[in-house]
Amino acid sequence: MDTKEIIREQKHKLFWILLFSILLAGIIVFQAFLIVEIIQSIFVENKPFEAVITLLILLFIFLIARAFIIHLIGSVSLRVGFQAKKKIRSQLLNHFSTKTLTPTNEDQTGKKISLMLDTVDEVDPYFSEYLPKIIQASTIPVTILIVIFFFNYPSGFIILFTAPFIPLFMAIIGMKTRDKSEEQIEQMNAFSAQFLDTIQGLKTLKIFGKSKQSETKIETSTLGFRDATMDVLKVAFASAFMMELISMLSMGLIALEVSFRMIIFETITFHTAFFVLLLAPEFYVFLKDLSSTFHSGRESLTAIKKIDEEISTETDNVSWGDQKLQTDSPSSIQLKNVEMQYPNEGFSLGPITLHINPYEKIALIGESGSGKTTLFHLIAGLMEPKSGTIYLDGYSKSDVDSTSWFRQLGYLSQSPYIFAGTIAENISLSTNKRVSDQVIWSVLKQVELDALVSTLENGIHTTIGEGGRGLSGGEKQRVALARILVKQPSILLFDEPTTGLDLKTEKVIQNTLSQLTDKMTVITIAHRIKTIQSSDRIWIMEKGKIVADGTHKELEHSNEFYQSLITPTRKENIE
Amino acid sequence: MTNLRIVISEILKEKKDVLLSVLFGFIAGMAAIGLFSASGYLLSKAAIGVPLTALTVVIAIVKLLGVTRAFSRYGERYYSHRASFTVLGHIRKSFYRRLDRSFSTLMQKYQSGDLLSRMVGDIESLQTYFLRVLYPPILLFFIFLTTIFFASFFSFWIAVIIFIGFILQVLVLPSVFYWWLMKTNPNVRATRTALSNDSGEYFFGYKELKIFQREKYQKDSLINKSDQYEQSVLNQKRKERLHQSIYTWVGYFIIWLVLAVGAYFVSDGDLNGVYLAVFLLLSITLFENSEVLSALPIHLANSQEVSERLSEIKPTGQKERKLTTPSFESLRMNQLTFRYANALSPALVDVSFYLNKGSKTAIVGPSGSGKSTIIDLALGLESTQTGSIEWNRTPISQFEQSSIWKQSNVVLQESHFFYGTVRDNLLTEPSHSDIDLKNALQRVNLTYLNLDSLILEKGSNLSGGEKQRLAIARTLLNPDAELWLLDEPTSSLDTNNKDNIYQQLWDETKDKTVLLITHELTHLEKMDQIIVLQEGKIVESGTYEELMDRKGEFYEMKQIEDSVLL
Repeated sequence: MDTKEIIREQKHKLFWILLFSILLAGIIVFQAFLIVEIIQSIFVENKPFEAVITLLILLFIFLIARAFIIHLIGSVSLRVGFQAKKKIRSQLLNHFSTKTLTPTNEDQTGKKISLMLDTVDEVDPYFSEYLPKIIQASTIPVTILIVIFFFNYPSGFIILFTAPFIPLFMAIIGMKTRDKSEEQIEQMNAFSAQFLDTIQGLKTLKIFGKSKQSETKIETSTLGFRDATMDVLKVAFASAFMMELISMLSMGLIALEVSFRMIIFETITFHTAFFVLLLAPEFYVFLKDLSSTFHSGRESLTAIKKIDEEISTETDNVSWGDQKLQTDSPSSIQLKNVEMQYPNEGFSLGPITLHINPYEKIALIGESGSGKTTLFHLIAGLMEPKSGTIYLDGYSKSDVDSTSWFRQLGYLSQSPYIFAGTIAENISLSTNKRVSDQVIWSVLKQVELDALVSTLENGIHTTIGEGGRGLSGGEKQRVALARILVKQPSILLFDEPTTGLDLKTEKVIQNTLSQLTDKMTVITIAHRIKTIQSSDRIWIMEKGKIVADGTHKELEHSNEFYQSLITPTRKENIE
Repeated sequence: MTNLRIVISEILKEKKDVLLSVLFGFIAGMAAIGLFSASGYLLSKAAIGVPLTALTVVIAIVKLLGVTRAFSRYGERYYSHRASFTVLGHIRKSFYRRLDRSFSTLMQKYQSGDLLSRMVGDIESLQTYFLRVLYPPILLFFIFLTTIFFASFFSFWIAVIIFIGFILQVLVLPSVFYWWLMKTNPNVRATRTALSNDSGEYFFGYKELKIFQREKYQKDSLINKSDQYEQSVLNQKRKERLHQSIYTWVGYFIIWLVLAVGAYFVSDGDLNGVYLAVFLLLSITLFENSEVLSALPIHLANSQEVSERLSEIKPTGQKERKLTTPSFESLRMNQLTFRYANALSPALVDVSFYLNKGSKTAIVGPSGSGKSTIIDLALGLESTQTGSIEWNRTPISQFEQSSIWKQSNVVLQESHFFYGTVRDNLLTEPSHSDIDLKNALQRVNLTYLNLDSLILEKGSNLSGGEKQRLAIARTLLNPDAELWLLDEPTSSLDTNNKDNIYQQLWDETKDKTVLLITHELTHLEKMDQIIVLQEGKIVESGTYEELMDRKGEFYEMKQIEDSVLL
């Protein structure tokens, strides 16, 4: 993402803001002029009220115009922020969609969501406040200053000498607040962390009678947080104080200067003097406005930087082509020197070379962390290997049409995701065709959830998942299985979905699958001796490599690791 | 509105700071008005040509007011913010107290991240309530009143015009806009929640979406949701913008009216011409001051929403629990059926069993079969729904919870470790000496831990096994407890450590009552009774030998456990 590019795209809007600002500057000057004319006529020249009626009407129109233009500038500014945020968010999402399957854990997902929502929101002030204020501050005060110089140059000089102090103080204070506000953010994080730590452990703390102590701790850290916040604010207030002092004093100075010149030197008229006195505050107002958005503009820039960092990280888009796969039998799968790495985790996989024939039943075993799930992701086409090639039916995967591949594929993992929606929606998610209620009920019957679902008021239209009814692990797994039944894939990747589940769920899954697997290629990450023994081939994985590939009979005699696994004493040694 | 009363009462606790901020704010406001009025006066007098000496007093006043204004603005800002942030501290504390009082229900209902965002972000946003909603109108009331009072000496009608301006800007416009805001009900929060939820669905369900070829569709719908959210934000901000513009214009209009009416009176001779410029500059400054109120309705609406969200966290109306538990004799679970809010199926169905003093009971079953719920119920962390729990034949709901906990020694399935030293994390009593602590560590094979070693949040620098052993060490330091409730105490330990821990536990609990919950079927040979739980129901119970002989569910589970590799 490029801030400049976003600005460039909104060029015309910013141009309008510039145009309106110039117009506003003109209105401000003329409005002051009109006010002075009116007072001059009435007070100095003692003209009758009728003489100023036209001027008053004109002033009225100008005031409306002023309010209207301010409104326009504000509205256009809002649109700039609106467009920028929309653009940044969709860029971020497109980026995420290509790199979502790196080793995800919930923490990282949380970070992504917060980047998508909070951080993008923080970007807004830069576009909707800071940029427009910069444009205004660089046109309006300048115009006012030129006008003042033109009418009464000494006042112009007073302003010229005092005004630079404002950006100077702004810069000094900006630097100081950065350190201080970093400190504040640290305090805030510390407070958040402590609070989270405490509420997550509240059960433990209460049972051991320690909750009073943690209340005191919370109190102390809220006070610490308050003090840190006040430290930042004190600096900000000091800056406001200096600006206030400078603008107040220089306005006082101008008032003195013009009245002296009127009385003693009689070099200027009341008209000019009053005109200058009216314009001077307008000059400072815009500078002060800028400095108040300065801080939020800064914060936005930090947010933009954060997003930039994320977007510039490498993505691993899985490449596909147009070649359609045949549909009458499962495709053969071949991996040639496939390698994979997670740069941050210090994990690497491969090189792996293997071949899977249609209808084969393969068991994959290995200790946790040996790369079984990563291998599954590669075979499934959810990840792009760093090097090496995957062939499907002999075609390189990058030539294969992804739809025709995913049409064949079924994947049952240890933690299937249940989407917010009805039971029927979750089950029919697996196919693009419309699924009738009848089919849903029949698959529910197969996974033995029909009795439970029929007790629900809304039956298969009961909302589950986030915001709906919570499902137990076994229930989730059976819904996921129902999805597979609806899809009827010809290649099934089976990431040992029964681990830790009750016997009943396990039996349901085994029974259902045994009726299907004749028509499928099945690769299972297996833990049970029975499953392993009944498969056509066994792969043993160790530290990212396939160290053995053979039938139970072959491995039983040749592979030491396998032997150690299946001998009765192994349990004590492994754990 | 009632929810905000809590905030107001907290604010009133900081009387001194509140008064000081109003006082300084008043001085600052008046000083600015004085400064500009005086400048106008100075200029007008100069125009008539009075001697310089007569003006020196005014000149001095102008300078003095400039400095006063700057200083008192600083004071106002300082005290108002300090009051505000102290109040936020009070609110946080009372929020935590409420949480503490009924945490079991709350933790079930809200995720800890949700509670955190309320505690930190929501409460933080309440700062605007005092700074932007509550005190500016009070301040402006005084400033306007004083100005109107002085103006009335010079011109009754100009005072009336300023008064009308005051009514419009302080009362009418904010109320009308607030009403409009509430009526059109901006759905910013709703669209944001939708976006947040859908993002979660997208990231968590990515694998499924990809395989079922729904990923692109879901992504497009997410971009669509994002645009909807931005649109609602834009609509909201445009409303604010419009209100602000109207507000500004009303200010201009009053200034214009002051000028027009003033000019009329001067030309009529009812008002000294010197005061025309004075009144003009005065009203310009006055209405510049009141600009802060244009954002009041938005802040009010926001504060209200936030305080509503905060007041959702309220202590549940628990019955008075007065009794202190007598020394443990027995615990009876009577036909317990328990369903977590929102769960599709119940966690426990008609569960009954009895723990006699000194008996050893194990509850076994796969994860998700409702085992841990039993412990939560026994400790009063959850209230019973159907059925009852009796402690020495008295319903447990009559006892004060802490007195139950005092007699129990608990290892939770997920024992919590927080940021602090090993010593802190052992949750010791003052009576424990370092030797006791070291002894406990030694018994669980953690001698390599120093009592002053640092443990990070959630014990993230400890392995699962170390955490479990440390949790056991906590219980070993409290050997007098009568009732030991152990929830999967050794699930992450290797065989040697497992054997050692059970050895230590059996040594310590010879004449105590033990309820062990586990999904592993080892070390159960000596138990007096084993209860097999499946899908929340008791399917079998008996001693180890009885169950093995029966060749039922327990036997089958044992077979499977033996056949598992890795």
